[in-house]
Amino acid sequence: MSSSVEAITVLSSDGDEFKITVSAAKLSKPLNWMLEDVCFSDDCDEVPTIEVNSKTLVKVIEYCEKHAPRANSGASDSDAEELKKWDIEFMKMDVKDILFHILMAANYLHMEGLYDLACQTAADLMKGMTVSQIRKIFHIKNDFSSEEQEQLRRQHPGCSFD
Amino acid sequence: MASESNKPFLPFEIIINILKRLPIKSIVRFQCVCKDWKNLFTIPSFIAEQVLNSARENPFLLIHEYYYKYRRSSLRLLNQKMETAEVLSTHSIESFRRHWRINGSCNGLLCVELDTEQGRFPLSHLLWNPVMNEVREVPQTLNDFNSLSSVGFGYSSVVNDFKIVRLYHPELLKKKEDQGFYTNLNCAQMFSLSTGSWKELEFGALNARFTHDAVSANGNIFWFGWDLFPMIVSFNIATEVFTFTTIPTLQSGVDVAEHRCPFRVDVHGNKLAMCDGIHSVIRDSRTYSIHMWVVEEGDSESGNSLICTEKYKIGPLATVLKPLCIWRNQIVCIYEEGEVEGKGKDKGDLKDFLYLFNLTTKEWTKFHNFSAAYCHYAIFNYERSLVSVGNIQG
Repeated sequence: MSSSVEAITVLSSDGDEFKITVSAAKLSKPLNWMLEDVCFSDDCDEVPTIEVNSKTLVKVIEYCEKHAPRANSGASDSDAEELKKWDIEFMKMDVKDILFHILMAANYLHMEGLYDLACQTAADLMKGMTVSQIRKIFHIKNDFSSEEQEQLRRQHPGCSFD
Repeated sequence: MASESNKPFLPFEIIINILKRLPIKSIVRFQCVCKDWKNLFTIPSFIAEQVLNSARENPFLLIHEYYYKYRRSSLRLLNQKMETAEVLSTHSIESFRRHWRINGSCNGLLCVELDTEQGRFPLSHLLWNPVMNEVREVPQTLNDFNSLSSVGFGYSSVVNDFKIVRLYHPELLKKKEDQGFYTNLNCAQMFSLSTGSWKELEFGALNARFTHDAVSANGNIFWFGWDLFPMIVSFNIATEVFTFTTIPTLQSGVDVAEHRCPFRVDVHGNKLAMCDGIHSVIRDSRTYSIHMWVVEEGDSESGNSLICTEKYKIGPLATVLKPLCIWRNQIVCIYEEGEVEGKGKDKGDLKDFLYLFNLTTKEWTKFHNFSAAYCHYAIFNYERSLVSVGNIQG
């Protein structure tokens, strides 16, 4: 049963195998359910698939392994401070390439800490962007008519549609 | 193309979670991105989450300095490092009247009282979101020329409404004499932003006096007052009911009758707290110290009793630093024309500073913040928000 194993094997959506320790997997509710439901003993050859691509799953597991000791035992203030610094380094990544995938994965895996961190990182990256940069990143089309644009410009003189 | 499928289209739910963390200025700009985003920024639940985030991540101290005689005023936001983060334009307020003061600050909205200018104008109020540059006139109440009143302003998420509550005395509406700091107030009226009108409230206090300061937190507005005993009056914004709680524990420590400067009622860690500077005479020498009391729900059988405990005593202090408000874990003070003897300091110099006492580290910090061009000031907690002064849709 799950209590006898220390690490479990999961498959990414690309079909690659990944090992994740039980304590790290517990940071995710769905993974935790899997631990309880699925047989992870040696004679069970069913490997659960996580609908997250390999590149993203590597990062998610890295986050889980780093945060698991603190989440399970509680930590001193200095540990919390160290972890905060680690989070900032960890989040230095490209928005389109990986951050959005992390957001999706954290949401799908119900990982509150990672989800909040990724949302805040995205917000920090977005705040200085122009409207057209934002549209490009989110694949959004400008659906305002020229009259509506004119009206918005009048209300908020600082607004720009570009 | 492979590159296309690599870029995920984020579900709107996730996008909302990112957008609520943006600073207001970015949100205002991003209204132009598309209609879905523009509409999102007007949804009450989004506005409410943005306010919470703003209060937690980006709290400001709002400083209003004014000099009536020269008709000058300045309104600034200080960040956590006590630097001026923004100078707010007061143009939209001053187009109504040059003389105004702020009654309260809640979720990014300010309740502004237009000055009566010696009774020439009836008292009236404005609701103002300075960041969104929106102002709304609050209709005048009947016969409120030259009245002394104590105004509270707050929000309740239960009814999703902002309310202005005015304690007043009907007789004073006619008299013109100055009643001093404390006023016997025995009537109450309330303006609701969602109905857009005033109404009279049942107010049980018969002969109580109140300070001019009120504060709001967790769907209540609080006043400090006293008749026989000091008391806290709380008004539940959702149920529109007043509760009077005497706090006899306070009396032993403080001789209320001796007080000339009003108590500051404020919010500390979501609890009601009060601050006051106290002069005392011990063996012919005068000392001054700052006291802070925290008000908590008591465990008594009657249910709604409040217990007021002195949590901090700062001093004796060499100079008279008057507490202005509680901001996060700090008491914000300003130098007041001192009565502590034999210190001989240059008063003009001391006056230009804000003094912050950190309740955790017990350390004082001093910030050069005031300009000699103004002689009055008022300080509030503030967070930038999208809250509209228009009618709130339920």
